Amino acid sequence: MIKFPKNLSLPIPDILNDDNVLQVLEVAGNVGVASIKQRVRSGRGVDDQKMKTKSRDANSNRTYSKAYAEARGRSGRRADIRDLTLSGAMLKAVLLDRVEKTGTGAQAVITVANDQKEKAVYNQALTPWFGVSPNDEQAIRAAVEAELQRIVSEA
Amino acid sequence: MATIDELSIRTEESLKRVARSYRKQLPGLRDYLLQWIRENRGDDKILRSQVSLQLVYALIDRAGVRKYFEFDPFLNLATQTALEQIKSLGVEFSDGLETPSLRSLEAALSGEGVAFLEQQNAAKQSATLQVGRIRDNIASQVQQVLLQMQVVPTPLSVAGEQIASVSNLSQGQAETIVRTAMSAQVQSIQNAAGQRMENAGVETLAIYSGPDDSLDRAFCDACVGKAFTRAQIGRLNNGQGLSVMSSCGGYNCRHEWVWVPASYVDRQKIPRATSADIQRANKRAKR
Repeated sequence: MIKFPKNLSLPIPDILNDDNVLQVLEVAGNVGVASIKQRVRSGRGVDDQKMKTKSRDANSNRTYSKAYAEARGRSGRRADIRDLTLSGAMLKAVLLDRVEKTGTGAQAVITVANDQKEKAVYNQALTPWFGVSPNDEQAIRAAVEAELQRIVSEA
Repeated sequence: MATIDELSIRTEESLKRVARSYRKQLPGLRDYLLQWIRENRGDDKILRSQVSLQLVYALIDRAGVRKYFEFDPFLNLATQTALEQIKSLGVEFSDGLETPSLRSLEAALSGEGVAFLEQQNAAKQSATLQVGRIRDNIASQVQQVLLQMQVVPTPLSVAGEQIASVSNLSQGQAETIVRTAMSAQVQSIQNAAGQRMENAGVETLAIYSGPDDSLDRAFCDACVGKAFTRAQIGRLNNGQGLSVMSSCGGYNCRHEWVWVPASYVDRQKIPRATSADIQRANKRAKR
Protein backbone atom coordinates (compact mmCIF):
# COMPACT_ATOMS: atom_id res chain seq x y z
CA MET A 1 0.00 0.00 0.00
CA ILE A 2 1.25 3.49 -0.80
CA LYS A 3 1.14 5.85 2.15
CA PHE A 4 0.29 9.41 1.25
CA PRO A 5 1.98 12.25 3.10
CA LYS A 6 0.01 14.30 5.58
CA ASN A 7 -0.74 17.96 5.18
CA LEU A 8 0.86 20.38 7.56
CA SER A 9 -1.46 23.20 8.66
CA LEU A 10 -0.36 26.42 10.27
CA PRO A 11 -2.62 29.23 11.51
CA ILE A 12 -2.25 32.57 9.72
CA PRO A 13 -1.56 35.40 12.18
CA ASP A 14 -3.84 38.43 11.81
CA ILE A 15 -0.95 40.83 11.35
CA LEU A 16 -0.12 39.37 7.91
CA ASN A 17 -1.50 40.81 4.71
CA ASP A 18 -2.02 38.67 1.61
CA ASP A 19 1.45 39.35 0.20
CA ASN A 20 3.09 38.51 3.50
CA VAL A 21 1.17 35.25 3.75
CA LEU A 22 2.42 34.11 0.36
CA GLN A 23 5.92 35.27 1.24
CA VAL A 24 5.91 33.19 4.44
CA LEU A 25 4.51 30.23 2.54
CA GLU A 26 7.25 30.55 -0.05
CA VAL A 27 9.81 30.24 2.74
CA ALA A 28 7.90 27.37 4.36
CA GLY A 29 7.62 25.55 1.03
CA ASN A 30 11.28 25.94 0.16
CA VAL A 31 12.34 24.77 3.60
CA GLY A 32 9.97 21.81 3.20
CA VAL A 33 11.60 20.88 -0.12
CA ALA A 34 15.09 21.28 1.35
CA SER A 35 14.24 19.30 4.43
CA ILE A 36 12.79 16.38 2.46
CA LYS A 37 15.85 16.29 0.19
CA GLN A 38 18.35 16.55 3.02
CA ARG A 39 16.52 13.87 4.99
CA VAL A 40 16.30 11.38 2.13
CA ARG A 41 19.91 12.02 1.14
CA SER A 42 20.91 11.08 4.67
CA GLY A 43 18.97 7.83 4.29
CA ARG A 44 15.98 8.65 6.50
CA GLY A 45 12.36 8.07 5.57
CA VAL A 46 9.18 10.00 6.23
CA ASP A 47 9.20 8.73 9.83
CA ASP A 48 12.75 10.08 10.32
CA GLN A 49 14.02 6.53 10.76
CA LYS A 50 16.74 4.93 8.69
CA MET A 51 15.20 3.53 5.48
CA LYS A 52 15.64 -0.19 5.12
CA THR A 53 15.16 -2.67 2.33
CA LYS A 54 12.44 -5.27 2.37
CA SER A 55 14.73 -7.70 0.65
CA ARG A 56 15.14 -11.03 2.44
CA ASP A 57 18.71 -11.16 1.22
CA ALA A 58 19.77 -7.77 2.57
CA ASN A 59 23.30 -6.43 3.08
CA SER A 60 24.72 -5.94 6.57
CA ASN A 61 23.28 -2.42 6.84
CA ARG A 62 19.89 -3.67 5.71
CA THR A 63 19.72 -0.87 3.14
CA TYR A 64 19.69 -2.82 -0.13
CA SER A 65 19.73 -6.40 -1.31
CA LYS A 66 23.23 -7.89 -1.18
CA ALA A 67 23.53 -8.07 -4.95
CA TYR A 68 22.41 -4.48 -5.51
CA ALA A 69 24.56 -3.20 -2.64
CA GLU A 70 27.58 -4.84 -4.25
CA ALA A 71 26.73 -3.30 -7.60
CA ARG A 72 26.40 0.12 -5.98
CA GLY A 73 29.72 -0.36 -4.23
CA ARG A 74 31.42 -1.30 -7.48
CA SER A 75 30.10 1.84 -9.16
CA GLY A 76 31.34 4.04 -6.31
CA ARG A 77 27.92 4.72 -4.78
CA ARG A 78 27.12 4.37 -1.13
CA ALA A 79 25.35 1.26 0.10
CA ASP A 80 25.51 1.97 3.83
CA ILE A 81 22.51 4.30 3.59
CA ARG A 82 19.42 3.98 1.44
CA ASP A 83 19.48 7.43 -0.15
CA LEU A 84 17.32 6.59 -3.17
CA THR A 85 19.97 8.11 -5.42
CA LEU A 86 21.29 6.60 -8.60
CA SER A 87 21.31 9.48 -11.10
CA GLY A 88 19.93 11.99 -8.60
CA ALA A 89 17.06 12.88 -10.95
CA MET A 90 14.22 11.77 -8.67
CA LEU A 91 15.21 13.92 -5.70
CA LYS A 92 16.05 16.83 -7.97
CA ALA A 93 12.49 16.60 -9.28
CA VAL A 94 11.05 17.38 -5.83
CA LEU A 95 9.88 20.95 -6.28
CA LEU A 96 7.83 23.64 -4.65
CA ASP A 97 5.08 23.51 -7.25
CA ARG A 98 3.01 26.51 -6.23
CA VAL A 99 2.13 28.93 -3.49
CA GLU A 100 -1.46 30.15 -3.69
CA LYS A 101 -4.42 31.61 -1.88
CA THR A 102 -7.30 29.23 -1.24
CA GLY A 103 -10.87 29.71 -0.02
CA THR A 104 -9.85 29.04 3.56
CA GLY A 105 -6.33 30.42 3.64
CA ALA A 106 -3.27 29.70 1.51
CA GLN A 107 -1.25 26.69 0.56
CA ALA A 108 2.18 25.66 -0.64
CA VAL A 109 2.26 22.49 -2.71
CA ILE A 110 5.39 20.35 -2.94
CA THR A 111 5.41 17.84 -5.74
CA VAL A 112 7.57 15.59 -7.90
CA ALA A 113 7.86 16.54 -11.59
CA ASN A 114 5.85 14.23 -13.86
CA ASP A 115 8.77 12.49 -15.51
CA GLN A 116 9.97 11.17 -12.14
CA LYS A 117 6.55 10.51 -10.58
CA GLU A 118 6.37 6.87 -11.52
CA LYS A 119 9.75 6.19 -9.93
CA ALA A 120 8.82 8.28 -6.89
CA VAL A 121 5.58 6.38 -6.33
CA TYR A 122 7.36 3.05 -6.71
CA ASN A 123 9.92 4.04 -4.10
CA GLN A 124 7.20 5.47 -1.86
CA ALA A 125 5.55 2.05 -1.88
CA LEU A 126 8.82 0.33 -0.99
CA THR A 127 10.07 2.77 1.64
CA PRO A 128 7.93 5.86 2.29
CA TRP A 129 10.13 8.90 1.81
CA PHE A 130 7.97 11.68 0.38
CA GLY A 131 6.07 13.76 2.89
CA VAL A 132 6.55 15.90 5.95
CA SER A 133 8.38 13.99 8.69
CA PRO A 134 8.34 15.20 12.31
CA ASN A 135 11.79 16.74 11.80
CA ASP A 136 10.69 18.36 8.53
CA GLU A 137 7.71 19.82 10.34
CA GLN A 138 9.95 21.19 13.05
CA ALA A 139 12.24 22.77 10.48
CA ILE A 140 9.30 24.32 8.62
CA ARG A 141 7.75 25.71 11.82
CA ALA A 142 11.11 27.18 12.88
CA ALA A 143 11.60 28.81 9.48
CA VAL A 144 8.07 30.22 9.52
CA GLU A 145 8.62 31.59 13.00
CA ALA A 146 11.88 33.24 11.96
CA GLU A 147 10.23 34.75 8.90
CA LEU A 148 7.27 36.04 10.93
CA GLN A 149 9.66 37.66 13.38
CA ARG A 150 11.50 39.32 10.53
CA ILE A 151 8.28 40.65 9.00
CA VAL A 152 7.05 41.95 12.35
CA SER A 153 10.39 43.60 13.13
CA GLU A 154 10.38 45.36 9.77
CA ALA A 155 6.75 46.47 10.03
CA MET B 1 29.94 27.40 -53.01
CA ALA B 2 32.30 25.20 -51.03
CA THR B 3 30.85 22.11 -49.44
CA ILE B 4 31.80 20.91 -45.99
CA ASP B 5 33.86 18.11 -47.51
CA GLU B 6 35.73 20.51 -49.74
CA LEU B 7 36.39 22.80 -46.83
CA SER B 8 37.60 19.88 -44.76
CA ILE B 9 39.92 18.72 -47.51
CA ARG B 10 41.28 22.20 -47.97
CA THR B 11 41.75 22.59 -44.27
CA GLU B 12 43.46 19.26 -44.05
CA GLU B 13 45.87 20.23 -46.82
CA SER B 14 46.55 23.47 -45.05
CA LEU B 15 47.09 21.58 -41.82
CA LYS B 16 49.65 19.34 -43.39
CA ARG B 17 51.47 22.32 -44.80
CA VAL B 18 51.46 24.15 -41.49
CA ALA B 19 52.50 21.05 -39.66
CA ARG B 20 55.42 20.57 -42.04
CA SER B 21 56.56 24.15 -41.66
CA TYR B 22 56.03 24.59 -37.98
CA ARG B 23 56.40 21.10 -36.61
CA LYS B 24 59.34 22.07 -34.47
CA GLN B 25 57.56 25.09 -33.10
CA LEU B 26 54.27 23.31 -32.51
CA PRO B 27 54.97 19.71 -31.53
CA GLY B 28 51.96 17.42 -31.71
CA LEU B 29 49.83 19.94 -33.57
CA ARG B 30 49.55 17.95 -36.76
CA ASP B 31 48.25 14.77 -35.18
CA TYR B 32 45.90 16.68 -32.96
CA LEU B 33 44.33 18.65 -35.76
CA LEU B 34 44.22 15.83 -38.28
CA GLN B 35 42.43 13.74 -35.73
CA TRP B 36 39.89 16.53 -35.35
CA ILE B 37 39.37 16.76 -39.09
CA ARG B 38 38.87 13.00 -39.33
CA GLU B 39 36.27 13.10 -36.62
CA ASN B 40 34.36 16.10 -37.89
CA ARG B 41 34.54 16.09 -41.65
CA GLY B 42 31.28 15.74 -43.50
CA ASP B 43 29.09 16.22 -40.45
CA ASP B 44 27.76 19.25 -38.65
CA LYS B 45 28.86 17.92 -35.31
CA ILE B 46 29.65 21.34 -33.98
CA LEU B 47 26.01 22.29 -34.12
CA ARG B 48 24.45 18.97 -33.30
CA SER B 49 23.70 19.84 -29.68
CA GLN B 50 21.25 22.43 -30.91
CA VAL B 51 19.36 19.80 -32.82
CA SER B 52 18.86 17.62 -29.78
CA LEU B 53 17.28 20.53 -27.92
CA GLN B 54 14.09 19.77 -29.81
CA LEU B 55 13.93 16.57 -27.82
CA VAL B 56 14.46 18.43 -24.59
CA TYR B 57 11.49 20.67 -25.28
CA ALA B 58 9.26 17.62 -25.68
CA LEU B 59 10.59 16.05 -22.52
CA ILE B 60 9.88 19.22 -20.58
CA ASP B 61 6.34 19.09 -21.80
CA ARG B 62 5.98 15.52 -20.66
CA ALA B 63 7.60 16.27 -17.30
CA GLY B 64 4.77 18.68 -16.56
CA VAL B 65 7.05 21.63 -15.87
CA ARG B 66 6.20 23.53 -19.03
CA LYS B 67 4.52 26.26 -17.03
CA TYR B 68 7.93 27.13 -15.64
CA PHE B 69 9.44 26.83 -19.04
CA GLU B 70 12.10 29.30 -19.96
CA PHE B 71 14.02 28.94 -23.14
CA ASP B 72 17.13 30.60 -21.86
CA PRO B 73 18.68 27.73 -19.92
CA PHE B 74 18.36 25.49 -22.97
CA LEU B 75 19.61 27.98 -25.43
CA ASN B 76 22.45 28.73 -23.09
CA LEU B 77 23.20 25.06 -22.72
CA ALA B 78 23.17 24.59 -26.47
CA THR B 79 25.47 27.51 -26.99
CA GLN B 80 27.70 26.44 -24.15
CA THR B 81 27.85 22.90 -25.47
CA ALA B 82 28.71 24.08 -28.93
CA LEU B 83 31.26 26.53 -27.60
CA GLU B 84 32.77 23.90 -25.37
CA GLN B 85 33.21 21.53 -28.29
CA ILE B 86 34.79 24.25 -30.34
CA LYS B 87 36.91 25.55 -27.50
CA SER B 88 38.27 22.11 -26.76
CA LEU B 89 39.62 22.09 -30.29
CA GLY B 90 41.48 25.29 -29.68
CA VAL B 91 39.33 27.19 -32.17
CA GLU B 92 38.09 30.68 -31.49
CA PHE B 93 34.35 31.05 -31.93
CA SER B 94 32.64 34.19 -33.13
CA ASP B 95 29.38 33.34 -34.94
CA GLY B 96 28.04 30.64 -37.22
CA LEU B 97 30.42 27.88 -38.18
CA GLU B 98 34.05 28.54 -37.46
CA THR B 99 36.38 26.41 -39.50
CA PRO B 100 39.63 25.55 -37.77
CA SER B 101 41.63 28.73 -37.61
CA LEU B 102 44.76 26.91 -38.56
CA ARG B 103 45.20 29.17 -41.52
CA SER B 104 44.94 32.12 -39.13
CA LEU B 105 47.63 30.52 -37.09
CA GLU B 106 49.75 30.10 -40.15
CA ALA B 107 49.07 33.70 -41.16
CA ALA B 108 50.06 34.89 -37.75
CA LEU B 109 53.19 32.77 -37.69
CA SER B 110 54.32 33.79 -41.14
CA GLY B 111 53.27 37.42 -40.78
CA GLU B 112 50.63 37.41 -43.56
CA GLY B 113 48.16 40.25 -43.89
CA VAL B 114 44.45 40.85 -43.62
CA ALA B 115 43.57 39.53 -47.08
CA PHE B 116 43.52 36.02 -45.84
CA LEU B 117 40.99 36.84 -43.14
CA GLU B 118 38.58 38.14 -45.77
CA GLN B 119 38.88 34.92 -47.74
CA GLN B 120 38.34 32.96 -44.60
CA ASN B 121 35.18 34.91 -43.74
CA ALA B 122 33.72 34.23 -47.18
CA ALA B 123 34.41 30.52 -46.80
CA LYS B 124 32.92 30.61 -43.36
CA GLN B 125 29.68 32.13 -44.62
CA SER B 126 29.31 29.47 -47.30
CA ALA B 127 29.98 26.75 -44.80
CA THR B 128 27.46 28.19 -42.38
CA LEU B 129 24.75 28.05 -45.04
CA GLN B 130 25.65 24.50 -45.90
CA VAL B 131 25.65 23.38 -42.29
CA GLY B 132 22.36 25.19 -41.69
CA ARG B 133 20.75 23.13 -44.46
CA ILE B 134 22.05 19.87 -42.98
CA ARG B 135 20.86 20.93 -39.55
CA ASP B 136 17.36 21.77 -40.82
CA ASN B 137 17.16 18.39 -42.45
CA ILE B 138 18.10 16.62 -39.24
CA ALA B 139 15.72 18.83 -37.27
CA SER B 140 12.78 17.72 -39.37
CA GLN B 141 13.73 14.09 -38.78
CA VAL B 142 13.93 14.79 -35.07
CA GLN B 143 10.49 16.39 -35.19
CA GLN B 144 9.07 13.08 -36.41
CA VAL B 145 10.60 11.28 -33.46
CA LEU B 146 9.11 13.89 -31.14
CA LEU B 147 5.69 13.53 -32.67
CA GLN B 148 5.85 9.83 -31.98
CA MET B 149 7.01 10.50 -28.42
CA GLN B 150 3.96 12.59 -27.68
CA VAL B 151 1.74 9.61 -28.47
CA VAL B 152 3.85 6.82 -27.01
CA PRO B 153 5.61 7.45 -23.65
CA THR B 154 9.28 6.91 -24.40
CA PRO B 155 12.07 6.21 -21.89
CA LEU B 156 15.17 8.37 -22.05
CA SER B 157 17.30 5.53 -23.39
CA VAL B 158 14.94 4.88 -26.29
CA ALA B 159 14.59 8.59 -27.03
CA GLY B 160 18.37 8.84 -26.95
CA GLU B 161 18.70 5.94 -29.35
CA GLN B 162 16.19 7.44 -31.76
CA ILE B 163 17.71 10.87 -31.63
CA ALA B 164 21.20 9.43 -32.06
CA SER B 165 20.14 7.59 -35.18
CA VAL B 166 19.07 10.79 -36.91
CA SER B 167 21.54 13.31 -35.55
CA ASN B 168 24.99 11.72 -35.66
CA LEU B 169 25.15 11.97 -31.90
CA SER B 170 26.10 8.83 -30.07
CA GLN B 171 23.27 7.59 -27.88
CA GLY B 172 25.28 8.37 -24.77
CA GLN B 173 25.87 11.93 -25.95
CA ALA B 174 22.20 12.41 -26.78
CA GLU B 175 21.16 11.12 -23.36
CA THR B 176 23.76 13.24 -21.59
CA ILE B 177 22.58 16.40 -23.31
CA VAL B 178 18.94 15.62 -22.57
CA ARG B 179 19.66 14.67 -18.96
CA THR B 180 21.83 17.71 -18.32
CA ALA B 181 19.32 20.07 -19.91
CA MET B 182 16.41 18.54 -18.00
CA SER B 183 18.39 18.89 -14.81
CA ALA B 184 19.21 22.51 -15.65
CA GLN B 185 15.53 23.19 -16.22
CA VAL B 186 14.55 21.79 -12.81
CA GLN B 187 17.40 23.79 -11.30
CA SER B 188 16.15 26.96 -12.95
CA ILE B 189 12.79 26.45 -11.20
CA GLN B 190 14.60 26.17 -7.87
CA ASN B 191 16.78 29.17 -8.66
CA ALA B 192 13.65 31.18 -9.40
CA ALA B 193 12.22 30.17 -6.02
CA GLY B 194 15.46 31.31 -4.36
CA GLN B 195 15.29 34.59 -6.25
CA ARG B 196 11.71 35.18 -5.06
CA MET B 197 12.79 34.71 -1.45
CA GLU B 198 15.68 37.10 -1.97
CA ASN B 199 13.39 39.67 -3.56
CA ALA B 200 11.16 39.42 -0.52
CA GLY B 201 14.12 40.44 1.63
CA VAL B 202 14.91 37.00 3.07
CA GLU B 203 18.61 36.28 3.56
CA THR B 204 18.96 33.27 1.29
CA LEU B 205 21.66 30.65 0.78
CA ALA B 206 21.98 27.69 -1.55
CA ILE B 207 23.04 24.30 -0.28
CA TYR B 208 25.13 22.21 -2.68
CA SER B 209 23.05 19.12 -2.12
CA GLY B 210 23.47 15.60 -3.42
CA PRO B 211 25.33 12.36 -2.87
CA ASP B 212 28.68 12.36 -1.13
CA ASP B 213 30.44 9.26 -2.41
CA SER B 214 33.51 8.18 -4.33
CA LEU B 215 31.73 8.78 -7.63
CA ASP B 216 31.64 12.53 -7.02
CA ARG B 217 33.74 14.79 -9.17
CA ALA B 218 36.54 16.43 -7.20
CA PHE B 219 34.81 19.77 -7.78
CA CYS B 220 31.54 18.47 -6.31
CA ASP B 221 33.38 16.80 -3.45
CA ALA B 222 34.75 20.18 -2.40
CA CYS B 223 31.30 21.78 -2.47
CA VAL B 224 28.84 19.12 -1.35
CA GLY B 225 27.00 19.75 1.91
CA LYS B 226 28.04 23.41 2.12
CA ALA B 227 25.90 26.54 1.88
CA PHE B 228 26.85 29.24 -0.61
CA THR B 229 25.72 32.78 -1.25
CA ARG B 230 24.73 33.75 -4.78
CA ALA B 231 27.95 35.76 -5.11
CA GLN B 232 30.02 32.76 -4.04
CA ILE B 233 28.32 30.56 -6.63
CA GLY B 234 29.27 33.16 -9.23
CA ARG B 235 32.91 32.62 -8.31
CA LEU B 236 32.75 28.85 -8.80
CA ASN B 237 33.97 27.36 -12.07
CA ASN B 238 33.31 23.70 -12.87
CA GLY B 239 35.76 23.82 -15.76
CA GLN B 240 33.26 22.36 -18.21
CA GLY B 241 31.96 25.53 -19.77
CA LEU B 242 28.56 25.01 -18.18
CA SER B 243 27.02 27.41 -15.72
CA VAL B 244 27.56 26.24 -12.13
CA MET B 245 24.29 27.93 -11.20
CA SER B 246 22.26 25.73 -13.55
CA SER B 247 24.41 22.64 -14.07
CA CYS B 248 26.41 22.44 -10.80
CA GLY B 249 29.41 20.18 -11.48
CA GLY B 250 28.72 19.87 -15.21
CA TYR B 251 27.36 17.18 -17.50
CA ASN B 252 25.38 14.43 -15.75
CA CYS B 253 26.04 16.03 -12.35
CA ARG B 254 23.95 14.42 -9.62
CA HIS B 255 24.06 17.52 -7.42
CA GLU B 256 21.79 20.52 -7.18
CA TRP B 257 21.40 23.88 -5.50
CA VAL B 258 18.69 23.89 -2.85
CA TRP B 259 17.69 27.41 -1.85
CA VAL B 260 16.84 28.01 1.79
CA PRO B 261 16.68 30.91 4.24
CA ALA B 262 19.90 31.47 6.17
CA SER B 263 17.99 30.69 9.39
CA TYR B 264 17.53 27.09 8.15
CA VAL B 265 21.25 26.76 7.43
CA ASP B 266 22.14 27.97 10.92
CA ARG B 267 19.53 25.81 12.61
CA GLN B 268 20.63 22.67 10.75
CA LYS B 269 24.29 23.53 11.41
CA ILE B 270 25.12 23.33 7.71
CA PRO B 271 28.66 24.70 7.16
CA ARG B 272 28.91 27.89 5.12
CA ALA B 273 31.37 27.85 2.24
CA THR B 274 34.52 29.91 2.58
CA SER B 275 36.83 31.46 0.02
CA ALA B 276 39.20 28.56 0.64
CA ASP B 277 36.42 26.09 -0.30
CA ILE B 278 35.79 27.96 -3.53
CA GLN B 279 39.48 28.04 -4.39
CA ARG B 280 39.79 24.35 -3.63
CA ALA B 281 36.76 23.49 -5.79
CA ASN B 282 37.97 25.59 -8.72
CA LYS B 283 41.43 24.11 -8.47
CA ARG B 284 40.04 20.59 -8.53
CA ALA B 285 37.66 21.21 -11.43
CA LYS B 286 38.52 19.09 -14.44
CA ARG B 287 39.48 21.18 -17.44
